[in-house]
Amino acid sequence: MDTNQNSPPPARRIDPVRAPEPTAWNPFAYALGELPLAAQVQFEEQMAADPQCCEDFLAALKMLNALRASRLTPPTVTSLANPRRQVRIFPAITAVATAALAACLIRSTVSPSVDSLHDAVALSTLLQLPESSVEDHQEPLSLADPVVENLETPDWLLTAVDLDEQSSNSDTPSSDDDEEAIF
Amino acid sequence: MSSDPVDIPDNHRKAVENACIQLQPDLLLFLTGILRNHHLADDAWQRTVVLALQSSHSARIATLRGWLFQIALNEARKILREIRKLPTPSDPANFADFAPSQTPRSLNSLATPDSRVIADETRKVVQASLKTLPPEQQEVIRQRVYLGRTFSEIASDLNLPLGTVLTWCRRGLLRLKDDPRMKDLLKD
Repeated sequence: MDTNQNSPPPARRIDPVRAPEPTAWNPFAYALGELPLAAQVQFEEQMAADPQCCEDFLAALKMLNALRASRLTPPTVTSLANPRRQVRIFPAITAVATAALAACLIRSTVSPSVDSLHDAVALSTLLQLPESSVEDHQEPLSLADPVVENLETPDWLLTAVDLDEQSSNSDTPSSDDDEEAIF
Repeated sequence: MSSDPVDIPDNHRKAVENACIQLQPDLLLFLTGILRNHHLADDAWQRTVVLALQSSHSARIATLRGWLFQIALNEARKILREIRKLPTPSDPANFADFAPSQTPRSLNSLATPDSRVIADETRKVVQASLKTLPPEQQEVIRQRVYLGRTFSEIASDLNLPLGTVLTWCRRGLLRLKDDPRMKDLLKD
């Protein structure tokens, strides 16, 4: 039975003599602080005697620095995380949704059914921008900004809500009249 | 017979001054790598420049780079000898990131963003080169170089013999060193 199975690996430092590629590895081992003191001094003497050894050490330092620096990846920016972009996207969404709403309203005047009005209201709710997307936006908005103009024109929404209320009050008779008119 | 203008002593001083300016980043990195302390490296750099200018008349232009590195190394070793003689640092704060055998993580301070700003393209090259390594070598390098963990800690976490972890790191770094893309990068 192996009693040493769970024991941690013994502390050990790199032996530059026993390492397979001691010459190539020593600059890295020195730069990483993995050489024992005697080997450190030996490596420093080697550098003093051989300028190429200094260059190898410098190359090792540069490579380790490049590796460390490559870790510093810039934060990934997602389009939805940018409140300013959300505000800029809003006019386009508004235009499309308004067109759809208008189409629904026109259809409801020709054939005003409860379903079509519900569709209109449902579309109008889609146009409500989440509060956070505007409030989180820190940049000052000028009144001349078309984005502000679009945000300050919710008349279509009030109209849609009014139409919804009217349809719920006067419910089916109007559709009956229309059916009579058709037939 | 006309003498080479760069070998005129007056020109030597100017050449040494220029070399000090041009080689400052490399020499400072070199000194910091040896001394593992930015303050000590700055001190050694100051001494190196003074000594180089004082002895510029004896400099050989053709081997100016190697000559400066030798001066820098000598100055760094003087500082190391002074510190190694000390049984205990008088002010531990001054030596917090010294003694590489005791604090192998100290070199991570070299990677401060302000001192080593790296372009996106460079980062891509390094990452691409790193990805060519076997996963186990990548992992050990990541933990040792990125996270500054000791080999003992890594071996313990991965439940592997220390020698295996050391070998993976050594092979990985040496492969990266021989990667043509890394060579091009470090040449610049």
